[in-house]
Amino acid sequence: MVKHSAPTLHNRIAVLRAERGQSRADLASAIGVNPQTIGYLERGDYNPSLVLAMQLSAHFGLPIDAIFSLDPFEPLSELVYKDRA
Amino acid sequence: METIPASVITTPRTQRRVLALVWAVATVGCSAAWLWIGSPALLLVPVWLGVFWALRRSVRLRADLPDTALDEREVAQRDRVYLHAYQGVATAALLVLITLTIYGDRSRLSYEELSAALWFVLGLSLGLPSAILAWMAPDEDA
Repeated sequence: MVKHSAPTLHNRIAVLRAERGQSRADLASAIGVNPQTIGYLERGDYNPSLVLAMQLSAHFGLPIDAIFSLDPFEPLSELVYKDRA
Repeated sequence: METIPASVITTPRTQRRVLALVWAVATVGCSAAWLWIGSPALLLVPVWLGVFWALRRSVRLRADLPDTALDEREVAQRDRVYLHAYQGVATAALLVLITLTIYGDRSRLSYEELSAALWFVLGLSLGLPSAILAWMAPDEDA
């Protein structure tokens, strides 16, 4: 029997939200969830359903794999400055 | 100032845990009162209801709301809480049954014993989901 254990799903929701100057309440209201759920998503304490992931994708105007990944995201500073160094 | 949605739990966890413990004591106490004082134990029901209501308010009734009033994380959280509560009530009912079998009068169950057992299992099944949620839910920022 295969045991159910959810893999860690990394995300960039906090960064994307900060870039757009949105509060958790703003984002929550835009996608129709409780603001606490945004906190759970950002901390990786809750993995969203496909529907919620697609709603976030549509809200940020980005593909799902730009927001969620099974591998940790590189820090933004490294992405921006690694080519310059 | 942003308005906090009605379903956001704002009661601190310490306060919620105290309420859950008070509810547990009230549930056991009200049931046990049937064995000691009989029918006048009914007078304790309003006290139990008050504690039960405060407990439910502390988790914003989230353990009892339908799917349409919750988002997907809250539905998953409520369902997990109900699974634990079901296991708790089933275990408690089994323990009550075993206790009555061992210590009760085998030829006839008294009205007081039956009432104590029924009130205990009923009180537990009504309040345990909220008590588990109050105990488990972390302090969260709105």
